[in-house]
Amino acid sequence: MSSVIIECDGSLSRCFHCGQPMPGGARLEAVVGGSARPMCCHGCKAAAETIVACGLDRFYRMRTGEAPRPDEQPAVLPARFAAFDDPVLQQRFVVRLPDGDSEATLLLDGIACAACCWLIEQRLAGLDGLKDARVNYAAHTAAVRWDPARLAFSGILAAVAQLGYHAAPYDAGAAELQLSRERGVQLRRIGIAGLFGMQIMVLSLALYLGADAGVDPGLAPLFRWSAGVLVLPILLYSAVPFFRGAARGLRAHTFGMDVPVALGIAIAFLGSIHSLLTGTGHVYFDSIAMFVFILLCGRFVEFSVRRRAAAQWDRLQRIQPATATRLRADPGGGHSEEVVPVTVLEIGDQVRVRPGETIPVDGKVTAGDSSVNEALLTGESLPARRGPGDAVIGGSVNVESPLCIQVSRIGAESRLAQIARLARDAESTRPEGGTFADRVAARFIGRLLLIALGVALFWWFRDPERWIPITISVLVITCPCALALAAPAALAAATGTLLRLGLLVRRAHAVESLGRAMLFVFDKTGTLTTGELQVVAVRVPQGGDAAAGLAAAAALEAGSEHPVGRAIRAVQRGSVAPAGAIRTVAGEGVAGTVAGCEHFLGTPAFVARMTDGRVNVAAPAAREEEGPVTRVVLATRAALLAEILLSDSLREGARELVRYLSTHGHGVRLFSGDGGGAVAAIAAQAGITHAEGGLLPARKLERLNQLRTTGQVICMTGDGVNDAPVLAAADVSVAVGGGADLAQASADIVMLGGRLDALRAGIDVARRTLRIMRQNVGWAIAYNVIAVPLAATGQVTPWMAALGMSLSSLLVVMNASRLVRA
Amino acid sequence: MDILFLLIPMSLLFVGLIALIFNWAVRSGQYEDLEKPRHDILLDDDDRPPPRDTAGRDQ
Repeated sequence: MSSVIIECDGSLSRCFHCGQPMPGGARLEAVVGGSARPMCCHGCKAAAETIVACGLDRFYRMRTGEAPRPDEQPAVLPARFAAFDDPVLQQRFVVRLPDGDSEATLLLDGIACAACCWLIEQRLAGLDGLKDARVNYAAHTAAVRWDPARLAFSGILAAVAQLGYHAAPYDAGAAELQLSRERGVQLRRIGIAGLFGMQIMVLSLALYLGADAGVDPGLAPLFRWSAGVLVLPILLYSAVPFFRGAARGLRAHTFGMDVPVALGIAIAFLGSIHSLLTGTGHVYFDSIAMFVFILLCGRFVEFSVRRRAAAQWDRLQRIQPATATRLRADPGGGHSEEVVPVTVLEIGDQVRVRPGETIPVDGKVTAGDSSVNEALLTGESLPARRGPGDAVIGGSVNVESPLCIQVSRIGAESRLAQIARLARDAESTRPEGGTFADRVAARFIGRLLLIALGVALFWWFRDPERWIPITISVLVITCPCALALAAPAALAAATGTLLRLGLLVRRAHAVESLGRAMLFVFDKTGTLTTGELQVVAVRVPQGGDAAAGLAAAAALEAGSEHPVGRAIRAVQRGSVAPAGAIRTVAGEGVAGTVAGCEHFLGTPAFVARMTDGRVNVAAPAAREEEGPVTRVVLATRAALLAEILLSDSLREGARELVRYLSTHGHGVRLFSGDGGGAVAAIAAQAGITHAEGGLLPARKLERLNQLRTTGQVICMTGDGVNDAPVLAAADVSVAVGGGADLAQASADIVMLGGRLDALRAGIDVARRTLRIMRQNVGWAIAYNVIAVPLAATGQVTPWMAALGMSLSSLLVVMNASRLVRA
Repeated sequence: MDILFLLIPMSLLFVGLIALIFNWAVRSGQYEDLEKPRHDILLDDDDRPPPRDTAGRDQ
């Protein structure tokens, strides 16, 4: 009960460093600013102590956001970054300056406020050998210069990591540079349109109101010609993307949004030139300037939000280096280890993979005995045992003890590359549906031209004097400003909101497709479930003590990284002294001495063997509602102490998500690579009626394509490499952050933090976005329906046209801004 | 009002000049980080030790 009381107590319930709720069990504290503060984990405690030791505790008073939660084991940090000291690897991101210094850019993760930047700068400045460190808050990067003779690069990374932030070297790729240049160009286009537009507005005001205010009508030509000169930079520089886009669209025979925009600008300009030369009629230079400025702003906001999402994703990808530990045979008969980039490995090389590391390549085990977690590759939730002679797949994770692996396949031959190829092929077959606004624009432009033609013909016969000014005013009034803004404004607002929810939108069409999706397909392991085992029940024989059994089990598993061990430790509250004389048998169990008595914990077969059959480990009849579970047994040499049942459990929010989708009339399906029994159990827990298990990646893809023939828009959510092809093929796909890189690269949206309730909120935002886009387009069309007859009958004066256009655009943008509050 | 024949062309020159300055500002990266510089002035280190009595956000 004590943990409940602590959680209710406001200021004490949260970690002082990272702001997350305090867990129950042993309490940790660190002294900051003269008094003891609660710390939720050893990582936070170590980071806070580092900050205080460096004299940087002002950070806690200056910050406006919470610090990131550091890794649990700060002691291993320097070793983890040692790979970055490899000269071959460093060539990619370190620049050697003529004076002997080195320079590099770091990507930083976890920065929440400006105080974080200050903290990192100050910490780095305190390192011996560091010359200069500057943090860019907007880009979350740090530029560092140091003396390689006095400071290793890994030392810089470790110093940042000790504060709890993630740092990785950053080699600005070509795509990144391109994006940054593009941002500059867009900014310049907006600036030019704004500057010159303001001047034009001043002159136009004089034209609109001058006659009433007593300005000499003889000055009108001066104003008109000046405005005509000022509009040229806007037309020739700022509006270029619209003309280029329109030309591209016409060549490809698709009337996108750029075609009506370019046409509107061109017609307004030519009409105004006509008025200028003949000295009669109106000039529309102010309309051109405003139109271009507002449209550019709308697109810039959308571009910026998406770029930020893309950069954040990019950052996640680069945190870990793709390196391997290669074994070299020494002349003396021993082995020496060297850290090399994965790309230089060749068939036949020996690599060592420590527990917790990802196996870098496909290969065959030559030495060692361990369990290997292939969940990301196959969807199987339990680690499988691998010993000498067994094949292992690159991308799976070594769980228990070191393995030596002989490389058998590399590059395009590897399993990972084969699945990546499948994903690429699937992506190229995805139908390219135009966006909603583009389709409307295509219909709209045709009708607009027909109406203008009809109006021109009518006035040609009725009053040849007036046909040119009236036709132009029709075309300018219908100028699809609001229509062109309708989609980008809504998408920009929605993308920003989704980012705050933890959903990174990587592709432009994703929001729209997510809002339209009718059938939702989920992967099981790691997507609907946490992918980690959890203790579901502890059974003890008559008169036994479950808590004591759990404590003994936790003592045996104290140092284990096996999912079973982690699950048992997670439910054991309070600290436990590790057992003595621990012996681990990979994939089977562990033996050790607890309280002076030998204990065994493992599979029933293992325990039976160790106790020579003296302990009865037969399972009682399985209960139906438990589903498939992993059963481990704890026993002494003489007696059974406890049975612990574990199972992969549903993620928080999974049931609510399925219920939400079902009540909104969407289909929900489960596709898994795992065996049928586990799939059926999880499906039943989540409330999914259609579940399929045992699907290989190619078969998953086949099933998805079959579903697609029904014409429904399909949303796929997955995390593993085996999901990558389906993610690429689905109309819209969501990858779970922290899953396989390939899955994230294939998906349209990356879900950070693995929170399924964020996905539910995201679906809601996407649907509202679609609704607001429809409202916007509806409004833009309604405005035209009212304005066109007025213009066609010659009732519209230029100031009415300008006002109408501004108001319709403003309304569309304000409607879209409703999406920001979510 | 004849002065307008001088003033308006002059305003054209000025706006051209401003456009050139703006162009330089974008190129030289003045708009790269719009967040941190405004905090820098507050976070700048001075040699005085921080006052102890206001320590702690949660008090």
